[in-house]
Amino acid sequence: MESAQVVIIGGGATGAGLLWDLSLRGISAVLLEKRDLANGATGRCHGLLHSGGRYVVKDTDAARECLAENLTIKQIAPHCVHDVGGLFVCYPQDDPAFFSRWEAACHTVGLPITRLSADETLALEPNLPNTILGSFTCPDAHIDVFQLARSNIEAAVAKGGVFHPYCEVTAIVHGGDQVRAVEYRDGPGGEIRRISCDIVVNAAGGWAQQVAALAGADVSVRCDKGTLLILNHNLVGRVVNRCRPPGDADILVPAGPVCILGTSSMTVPGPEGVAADPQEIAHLMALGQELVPLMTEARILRIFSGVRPLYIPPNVNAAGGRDVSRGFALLDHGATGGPKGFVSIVGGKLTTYRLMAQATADLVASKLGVRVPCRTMEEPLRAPVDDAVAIRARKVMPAQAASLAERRLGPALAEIVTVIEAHPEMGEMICECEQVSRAEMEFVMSERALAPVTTINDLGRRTRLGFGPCQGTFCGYKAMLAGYRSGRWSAEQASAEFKSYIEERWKGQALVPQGKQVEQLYFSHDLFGANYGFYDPEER
Amino acid sequence: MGNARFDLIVVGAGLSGLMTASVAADAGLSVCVVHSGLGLFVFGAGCVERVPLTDAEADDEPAALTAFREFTRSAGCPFLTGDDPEAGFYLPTILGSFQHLHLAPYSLHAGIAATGCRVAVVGIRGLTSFDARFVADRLGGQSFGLGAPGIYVAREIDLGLPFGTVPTPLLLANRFDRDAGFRDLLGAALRLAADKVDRLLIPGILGQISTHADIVSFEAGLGCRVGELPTFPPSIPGLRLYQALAANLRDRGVEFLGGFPVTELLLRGGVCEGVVVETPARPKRVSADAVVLASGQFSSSLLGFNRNGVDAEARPLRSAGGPVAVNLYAVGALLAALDGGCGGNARAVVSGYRTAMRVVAATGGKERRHAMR
Repeated sequence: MESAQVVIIGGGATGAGLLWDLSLRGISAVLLEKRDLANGATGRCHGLLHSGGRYVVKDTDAARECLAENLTIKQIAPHCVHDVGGLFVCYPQDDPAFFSRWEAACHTVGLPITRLSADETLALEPNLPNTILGSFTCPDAHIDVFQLARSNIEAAVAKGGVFHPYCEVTAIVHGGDQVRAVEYRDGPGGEIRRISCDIVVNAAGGWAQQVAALAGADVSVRCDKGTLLILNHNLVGRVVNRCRPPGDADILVPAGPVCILGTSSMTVPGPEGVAADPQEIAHLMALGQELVPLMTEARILRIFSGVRPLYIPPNVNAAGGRDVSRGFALLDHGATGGPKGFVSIVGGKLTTYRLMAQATADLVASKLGVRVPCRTMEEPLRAPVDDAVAIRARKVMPAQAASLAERRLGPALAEIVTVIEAHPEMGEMICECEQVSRAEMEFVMSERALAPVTTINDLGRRTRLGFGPCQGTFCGYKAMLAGYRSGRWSAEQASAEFKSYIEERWKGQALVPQGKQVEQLYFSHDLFGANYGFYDPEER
Repeated sequence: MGNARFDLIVVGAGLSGLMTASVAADAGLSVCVVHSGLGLFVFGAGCVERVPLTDAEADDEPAALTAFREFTRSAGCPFLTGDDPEAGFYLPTILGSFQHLHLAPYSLHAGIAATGCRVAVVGIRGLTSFDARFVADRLGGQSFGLGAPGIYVAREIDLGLPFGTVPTPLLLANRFDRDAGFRDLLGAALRLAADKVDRLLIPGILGQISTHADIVSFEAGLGCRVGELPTFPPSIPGLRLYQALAANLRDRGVEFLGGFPVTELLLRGGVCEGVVVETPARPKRVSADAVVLASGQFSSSLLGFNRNGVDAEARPLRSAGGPVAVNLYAVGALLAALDGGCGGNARAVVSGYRTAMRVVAATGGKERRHAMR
């Protein structure tokens, strides 16, 4: 029977980070995730690597943690980070008293800022309104959430960790007052399997309450929805924050070829089935226009919502939303009368994922009597790419494609370059928006990939295939054929998989109220709907 | 052209626009087609689906389809029905599904689903956007579900395409048009692939400017009927149809002003006097007694105001009620977007016919009038 010292439930950033931390300490661990990596809040957040500026005034602990982790993550995972820097911009309609409070708080916390005049700010970011009063620089950055989760998982697997995606936990088995094993469904509609273990870590984010219930424990999670808009331009080169108390739509994050505007905050009943609504979107766009006036002309690619899992400590009556601390909580249930060996790690932010994982791993290690200290703050997630390989890549691919592939694949780039050198047709760009070659696609879908792919969407998370303006209309089909040719899917399965993929891609675009993307969506509807009889046109 | 005047301006050169132009030109009207693109000819091949229409449209359907068949036949791209016109027929797609159709162009027609038919789906080595095995696999099962079970096998031909390039259907179609040697090579390879089967299904690559005669004679050399499968945009059979229909209309005196969008409708006192076209030097006014918008559901803001549906004459309505202009009509996908009905080619053809007839009647059934400009 399968066994490990630790079973981790939840494949978001925290769970992935924990798998890496434990694997580095030589502790055997299995990560169970009911869908694909970064399925919950991790995969639906703003992608902002906080400097802490957002929290300096109201939540100094969170601010300090963010600052420290910001620097650490830039060291250990530079390939996941676009270190673009950030600005806290002073808008004329905001409270000037807050600007000085904010500046003072930054000094207290030790956040390195520089004051810029209005002219200096506009020279850096010409798309800001020319009525701005000035700004402060800070070390905000963009982080690729999927590459982050993937890198942690792949690094862990290379060191003996085990990752089981599409495996939903069905039961947590006790022996007396101690957890003994976890049961899970092996793939959708698969058999129930069991892993025996000493420790179970609940890193399930928005689902933490449900998972805790499986163990007979109590974890109170408030689900808070945030909606984000993806715009098909680099309206700004740096992260732009509005220098005022945190509110809606006051951050714009440049994320590679796009930028992301967010966000909102409202309580929702659970972690699933959330969607944006038209009023919320109109509200965000109106606020976004205050941030950067040019936004009205920008093409919105996609609109999506994520759920922040906010931890409500038992004796706190929280107002909810932005008033609940962004700090995290590590719950050792055994120490408070709950099941022994069951630990929950809840709350927190993406930026502090490593710290959350460290705290959890420290506790787990002490329970197991393992005296190896944490090294994740120093150990890079991935080895750098050899210069020779980088040069070879630029001989077989266009330069931009090569540098994107380098960031995504790291040392594995050597494998796909070798393939393309031997078979030039493998250099065909399957996803032209994001420059994903056939060689890369097939590598990521093969058994050699350490974070396995089950659906076309999973492929998208690892390569950004389908994330660009065409939203999978052309590349999704080719990816489907590749899966069919490799024997992964029968023709019927491939067809069904593609249909569910393209419908998922449509959902995010269906909320876009105007502009070119609406036409793109109709185009896609027509192409697959009526034209190829993919679905009944009457359904539309 | 100067500041020209026509009996009718059609905005949009998709199927609904060209159909409108054809019917109007037949009745002796002077017509100008103003368009920026090709419309949805880049998808599919103009196949007319078997779809339910409104009662009024259904009444006109037989006459509309007759007019359409005559238009396409005289343009050199004849459309065929199935054995039972009422029942329609099924044609395969590259996604491995079947479309329920009423009419399809000759070059697709051989793909018709028929019980017991042995079909070879032929892929071309290097053409990665088309997978014969996937298509054959799917069609086998799907044809069974339709009650017309056929036997579909996958075969591959090698045309010796240059090492390291990734060919597209467009590239192959252009070679088909220009290079007799390539046609011979393709023909020879397909002849071999036709061994022991009744039909061939190939990706649509039989040229953009090939005539009906070209295709028939190519087919004759294979000893076997061949059906094209339209690929992802640009679909070659669709482009071929567009070229043929547009050329036919030009021969019949219809003017085309192509490549530039219409930016404004000239509205005065409840009448549409024409359109403004965004041509490079300066905007160009084109005047007409009637304007038909065949601009599709993609062109978002031409109407310039909220879409408030259409009246019984297929004229877009103002929010206050009443038509935007007494002589301004909508057809095709734009009409479908306005009245919430289904879109597609059947609607395009029928609505184009009906609206053209309305315009002809409204302009008092003019005498043959040649444009004096």
